[in-house]
Amino acid sequence: MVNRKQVLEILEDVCPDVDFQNETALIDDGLIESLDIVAIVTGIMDEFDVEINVDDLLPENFNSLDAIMALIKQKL
Amino acid sequence: MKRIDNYTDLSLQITRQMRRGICTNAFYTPEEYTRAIAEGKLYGEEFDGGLLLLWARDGYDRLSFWVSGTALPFVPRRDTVAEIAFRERDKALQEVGRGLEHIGFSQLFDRVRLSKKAEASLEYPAQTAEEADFPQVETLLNASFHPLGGCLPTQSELLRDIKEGRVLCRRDELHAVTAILHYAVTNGASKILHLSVAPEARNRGEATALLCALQGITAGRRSIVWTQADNAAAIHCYEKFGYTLDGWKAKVWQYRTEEILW
Repeated sequence: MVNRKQVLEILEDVCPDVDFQNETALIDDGLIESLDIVAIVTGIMDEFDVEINVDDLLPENFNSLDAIMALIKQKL
Repeated sequence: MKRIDNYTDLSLQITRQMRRGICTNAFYTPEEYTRAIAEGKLYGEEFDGGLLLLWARDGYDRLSFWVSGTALPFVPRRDTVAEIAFRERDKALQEVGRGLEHIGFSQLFDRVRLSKKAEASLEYPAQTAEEADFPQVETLLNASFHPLGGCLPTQSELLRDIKEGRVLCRRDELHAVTAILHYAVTNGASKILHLSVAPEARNRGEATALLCALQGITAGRRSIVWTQADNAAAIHCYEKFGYTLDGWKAKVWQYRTEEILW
């Protein structure tokens, strides 16, 4: 089970100014950058004890909160 | 450093680096890694605390890293460039520069990033450079950009991008190339890699024409560009076209195996 609030906390810790609840083009609109993705991924790996590898660092996996949650579910 | 022979091993090495507090300047796609490996141009060394990657370029190497802390166990064997892009809040990443200094790198120059939001665009006539234009395009680039700035494409990269239509150009009445705009599209944005106008063609609106062409050809998508921080003319040109400084900066570091004054 992936807790949305838990994921949101990780995302907001990395990028406090981004509206992760509503944005659906986080990468395409430049709201989060590669550097943020690395921080988000390492946070997710710690929190959910999943392994995300470099092949998962695709824009489509990080464009929205839902996409990020889907990635975590896939890795659990 | 050992030559990297396959992407699977590299992928595992990088994945091992992904832990809290890791600092990196290695933001490459699997395709970029795969291409460099196929060409025998990627070298790497994993150590306790990180992973260093060396990308063989034409005449020099480019260093990328995944590190915790500032220790970089590395002695360059030929001219090497490293670039660290950061925002003010990325303090740990900025500190890696101290590690570069410690092993003999010196700071070459700073870059700043400008970006422009997506906006509706009109069709605009755009010409792309052709294979036959390669020598002229290369000459323009070499005249405009520092040879060790780390941003010049290799000959094979430039040729590939010309063939794939990613070098827009302007020509004079004799069909000679007088200005070029080299771009890529990544993560939903166009990225201007190089914009260069021949000295004899300056102050005629060539750069603006190329920026309009880029906007048309990329359907007005978001756009970013890096330029040297002390290049006021370039910054002014981009700002006139709607780009704004967005807070990203970069430091370019170089290691010279022999002292040459540019």
